[in-house]
Amino acid sequence: MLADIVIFGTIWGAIYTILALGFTLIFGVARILNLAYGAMYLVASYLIYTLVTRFGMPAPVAWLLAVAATALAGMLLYRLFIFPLRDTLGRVLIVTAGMAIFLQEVAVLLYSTEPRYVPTLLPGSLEFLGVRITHQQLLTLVVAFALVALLHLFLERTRYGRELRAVAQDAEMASLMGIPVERTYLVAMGLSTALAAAAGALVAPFLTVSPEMGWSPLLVAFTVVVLGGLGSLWGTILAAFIVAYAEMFTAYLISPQLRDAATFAIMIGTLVFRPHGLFGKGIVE
Amino acid sequence: MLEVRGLAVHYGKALALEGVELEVPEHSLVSVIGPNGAGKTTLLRAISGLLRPSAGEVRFRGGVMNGIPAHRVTRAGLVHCPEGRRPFPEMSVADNLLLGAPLWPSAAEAQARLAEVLALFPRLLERQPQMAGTLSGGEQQMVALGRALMCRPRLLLLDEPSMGLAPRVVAEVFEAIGKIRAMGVTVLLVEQNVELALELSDAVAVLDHGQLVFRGTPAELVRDARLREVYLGVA
Repeated sequence: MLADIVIFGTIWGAIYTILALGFTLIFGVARILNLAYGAMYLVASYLIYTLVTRFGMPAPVAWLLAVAATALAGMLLYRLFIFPLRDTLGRVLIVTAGMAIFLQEVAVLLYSTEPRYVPTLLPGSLEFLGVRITHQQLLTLVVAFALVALLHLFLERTRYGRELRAVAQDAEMASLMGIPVERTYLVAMGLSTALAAAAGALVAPFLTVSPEMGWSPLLVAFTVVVLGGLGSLWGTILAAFIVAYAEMFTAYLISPQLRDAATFAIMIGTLVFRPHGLFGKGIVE
Repeated sequence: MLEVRGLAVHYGKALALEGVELEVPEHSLVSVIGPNGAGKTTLLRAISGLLRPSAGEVRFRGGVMNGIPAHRVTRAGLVHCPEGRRPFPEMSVADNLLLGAPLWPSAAEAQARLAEVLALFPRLLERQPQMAGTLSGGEQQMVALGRALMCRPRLLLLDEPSMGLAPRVVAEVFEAIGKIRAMGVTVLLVEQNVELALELSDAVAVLDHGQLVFRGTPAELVRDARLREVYLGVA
């Protein structure tokens, strides 16, 4: 049992890290609290389901296509609905919550509320410390870590990453440095959505795809950001693993139904007792 | 090089600038002085596209600049180094400087300018890996000036580069401004430290309550008994 908790906690911790990094990226750069973030995870999962089961596409192609299409959809949603309302945080919350509910209902209309299954990318499994791990779960772990490393390199080592960081710290000053701030927001939205989509694509094969599946990742992303603070890669990673292990402990020792309750408890506890997160640089002003 | 014609700026209904006429010829250094709240910062912000003027025109090298977003104004070679230094605090000094590198036609030219900037401010050389937010005020001002130079300016707008600095550091900063001119950069300077500003200036404009009340050379300003008393604080 302890081995299960450690192994699956680690896999989920890696997924939660990419989920939270995408969420904190768009908030950090453009101050957009995107409540439709989880819906992007939903869109990617259904896209993969459709491309694989209805169009018979090979799985890896469907995966890449779904992530790219979701990123584009995220940029389009930004331009159409968030951009005109961006100056007011309250309006952004309402419009993105509206988008999330809308996309969920579209999924109900197109696919009904019945859960769907996505085939695995890598069949087979192995045993480690007495725990059966599917190859898909291992792939998820590896890809998630690779994505975190790539994102880190992009932000620290490339021109566009440097520009994103500058806009996050002082958008007006960034514009005086010749950086097109509006375009930077759009790029951040695309990257953020791509990370949500990648997380969705990675876990879809070992979960069921259903219309309400977007809320749980939104809750997780929000909790990790509250706990780990903004703009700190290590804080985000640590917080993602804390949330994942707490969820696994609750699921294995109490009941799998209480997984989200554990996350909620961490979020509420953090907001009450450490409103600035573990490292004092929180999302709460 | 820069021509400002009939410029007016409103904050809501309040008038911040009215009928401002100003020329900055190529290779000159023009200072704008005046009391706090006279509209000096507003003038620079309207020129660089951070504020939308309610009337008038800003022409730079023949092209009309007002209504153009700030990042394009910078790319045209009109670079604004704003009040309060504003380094990107959680970025290394090197990254702060390199932000302007893509504005050069080639990486070699950007590297050459970086070398010039580091020669101008040798202290930044060893500070390169350090986060800009951890530097002293004077060093942050050097980052701000160096970063602006990295943006390939033909005309540099400098807003209060001496603000909050110790006298010794102010002298260093003004020495650097002199060298920046020698690099062929035209400068429009807003400064509280009138004495130092006049020493460097080819022309001076005095702004008060949103209007220009004097334009001329530093010598003419010093000869004007009334202005001398009000703005230079000497009878």
